[in-house]
Amino acid sequence: MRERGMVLLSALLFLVVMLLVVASNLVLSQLSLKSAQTAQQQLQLEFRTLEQHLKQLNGLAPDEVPESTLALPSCPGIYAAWSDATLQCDLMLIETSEQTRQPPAFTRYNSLLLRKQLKLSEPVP
Amino acid sequence: MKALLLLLTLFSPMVAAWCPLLPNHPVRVTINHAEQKRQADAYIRTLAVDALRLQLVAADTGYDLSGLDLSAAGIQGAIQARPLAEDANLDGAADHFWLVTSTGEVWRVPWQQSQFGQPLLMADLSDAGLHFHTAVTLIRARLPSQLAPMSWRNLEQHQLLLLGTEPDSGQDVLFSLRFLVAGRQPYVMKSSQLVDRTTLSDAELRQQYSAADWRVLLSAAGWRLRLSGRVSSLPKVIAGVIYAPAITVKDANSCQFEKTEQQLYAVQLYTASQIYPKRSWAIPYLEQAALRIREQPDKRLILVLADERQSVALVDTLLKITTDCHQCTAPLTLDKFPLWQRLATYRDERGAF
Repeated sequence: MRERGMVLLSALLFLVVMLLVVASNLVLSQLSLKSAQTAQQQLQLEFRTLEQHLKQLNGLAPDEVPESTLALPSCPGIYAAWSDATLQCDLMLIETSEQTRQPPAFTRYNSLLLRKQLKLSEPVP
Repeated sequence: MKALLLLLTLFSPMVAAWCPLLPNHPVRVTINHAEQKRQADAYIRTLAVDALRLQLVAADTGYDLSGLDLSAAGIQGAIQARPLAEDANLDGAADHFWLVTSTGEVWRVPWQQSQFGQPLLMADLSDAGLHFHTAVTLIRARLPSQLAPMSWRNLEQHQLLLLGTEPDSGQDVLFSLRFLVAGRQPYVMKSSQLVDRTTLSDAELRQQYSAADWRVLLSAAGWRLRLSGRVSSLPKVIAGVIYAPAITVKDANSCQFEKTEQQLYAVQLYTASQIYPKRSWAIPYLEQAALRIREQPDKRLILVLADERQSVALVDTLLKITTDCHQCTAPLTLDKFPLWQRLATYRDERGAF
């Protein structure tokens, strides 16, 4: 009778241990899946932001003046140089940012652009 | 006695004959003042006969912002040329001013922490014996590495264009001086270090000079070009080509020209070589006219000489210099503008695992 009780107890203990091992494996796999998805979502967010940023850069209108525009008194050195203010150079900072709440992530792209444009003193005749 | 001589020099009829193109013309600049950017006018103020002052006044209120007594700072003599501003660090505000005295001394005056610093003598062209009355422009230029001499460590340089007049003939000489953008100029430039480009060799006239000849020209500190007369309106630099109209003078002591024709010079910025089939050709003379660029319906750009009432087309197809070779040019059109250049892109991310 005592021997049967020991066997039963051992079987129960074995079952409990197996249950713990299986449960911990399940939790671990859930966590790894979650972390893998988060990284993937982060990459997707970054790709989406970059796509929007490049679209914003390519779609800039010639006369657009973003808030963060710095008009330079003289242009950086070029070979076919111009005198005075006929060639106007502007430094522009273009920013694109995206964020997600779940999982919390934030990505931002900043581009520094130099725009050279001619300032003709007189209108077209 | 010295003061009397200067007084006589200033008020004698000879002075009018120097014919400065922009006499005492204030230059509008953006400066950093009291830790903020503001617009200011820079000009040379005459306090007394031999006391000049580089003055900065606020463009909006007209209040004095700062000044530099030139004689106390070591800059002697009269100044007729307007000051030129330089933005060395490209932060959008002027940080140096260039002054040219009538004898040909070129000074660079730093502007930092809302005050002028100690001027530095960059060039002394007094050995040329000319009267310098006009500072045309200060250009920041950069040569591509394949066109620059091997000895050049820095491809980006300042080109200072000046006009000096010969006292006897009344003819103008156009100067182009090259200075380093970064670093201190190791010597004071003299007129003798400049290449005289008044006459071109036969090979150059046929546009057959080699890249080696071009590099030899660039190895000099700059060039000078004696024009056939007096420059009648401020020269312009358009896409690497200098345009300067010059009228022949009969009386060296007069600024009145009774001619109907003058010569237009079109020379390359770096070597004063020819760009068009001729380096100079005859154009009409208009009194108090200026060189202007005009856009045509087909996006071509033309050069005109215009006053308040009329304008005359001077160049129908403007050319620009290109980096393909040392004497390469291409038509200048407006459809390429504006030019965009992406200097840098930064990525910033948070929450990454």
